[in-house]
Amino acid sequence: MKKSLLTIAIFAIVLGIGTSQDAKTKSVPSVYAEEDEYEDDPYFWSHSKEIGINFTPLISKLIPFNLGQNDSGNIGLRWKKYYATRAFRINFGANVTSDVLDIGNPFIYLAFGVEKRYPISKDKKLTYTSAWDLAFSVEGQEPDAFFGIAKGYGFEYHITKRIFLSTEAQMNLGIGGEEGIKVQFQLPTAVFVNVRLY
Amino acid sequence: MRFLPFFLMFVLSANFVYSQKESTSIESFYPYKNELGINFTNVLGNVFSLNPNNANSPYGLTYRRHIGQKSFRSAFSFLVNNEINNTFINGLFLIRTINQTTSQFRIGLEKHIVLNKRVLFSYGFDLLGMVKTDNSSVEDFNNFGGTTFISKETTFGGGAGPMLRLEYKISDRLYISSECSLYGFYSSSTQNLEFGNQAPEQAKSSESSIELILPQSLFFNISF
Repeated sequence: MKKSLLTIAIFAIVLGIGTSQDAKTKSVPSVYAEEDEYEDDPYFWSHSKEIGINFTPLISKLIPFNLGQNDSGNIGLRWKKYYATRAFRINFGANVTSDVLDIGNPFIYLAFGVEKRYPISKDKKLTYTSAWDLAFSVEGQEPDAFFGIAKGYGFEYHITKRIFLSTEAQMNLGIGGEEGIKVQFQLPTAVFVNVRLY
Repeated sequence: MRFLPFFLMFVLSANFVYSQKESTSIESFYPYKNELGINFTNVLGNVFSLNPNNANSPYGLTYRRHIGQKSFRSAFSFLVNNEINNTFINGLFLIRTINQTTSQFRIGLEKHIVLNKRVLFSYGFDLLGMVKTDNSSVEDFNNFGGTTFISKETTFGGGAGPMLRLEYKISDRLYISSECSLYGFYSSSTQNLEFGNQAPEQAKSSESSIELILPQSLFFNISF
């Protein structure tokens, strides 16, 4: 009886260690180099949806000695649908009011495009993106419209497989304003917190 | 060896508890059903001398009730301001009275996606409401009989829109969260003006807006 009890005890302890080891491997994000359950998926971001929220206003508030007024850009929300290697994406931002006394900067921004993501590091935590967008925006009290294409290069850091930070620079080329043709280089101003949904 | 069965039970139950902890279901993320949130942004800003710029969320207090994968969400803010000032400017004696009340609220539903055991992403839809009264008067006692200027303004507003939310779990009872919303809002104001013995005048105005409100406030949430 003693022996069998001892055997059960040892088995239970081993099972416990096994469970905790398994749990450890699950909790440690060692999955970056792995691909998803689909065999033909080249990357872990393949066949997933992503939503990005511009967190610059909150992040800028939480940085000490950063006492200036921050520009978080016109893009507030970003949605992407990744296929095997490329994604269709939508960028959106809006602040429109009928109040004539509102001294803020009214604007609408909408862009559709395609994007491709490339790994920088072996574990795929660091990646960069290359995108082409068809963009439309109207900005300012005396509306200044823009319609054209935007070439974007982004930089991303994947905290976990489902949460990552990103920023992007854009080169806009199109028509708008009094000049007619507008060329504008938009430096990275916003930090996006993105979540990946399957 | 009497303690062996108890030891066995302890080990097995410990394993069970451990494996339960590792799961990332909504039930394990929210072990309690109710959640009260307080806008903590200004506290952090004042204590740590952080950036005071950018607008805040109008809501100071939030309450959420978790029902499986969904949650009922609500937020409130209430402001009352009563002031009476006696001023003497350029030989004129004036009494200024200001009575202001502003109450804003929102209710909605959200659905959760657990990203990992510490982070949760939610999306949902909110309905907004606002009631605002702004009464002010200026009494001038310098002329014979005095002159009184009275302004009474009442504003009703309503709106709706989708929202996105990120929440970080510190412990089973403590969470921090921030959210982003795209609200369309319409408000209508009626202002009554009375000046001395003249006939009162009424002015009506309305305002509408669509705004993508980026995450600006940090909420500290307590579950119970």
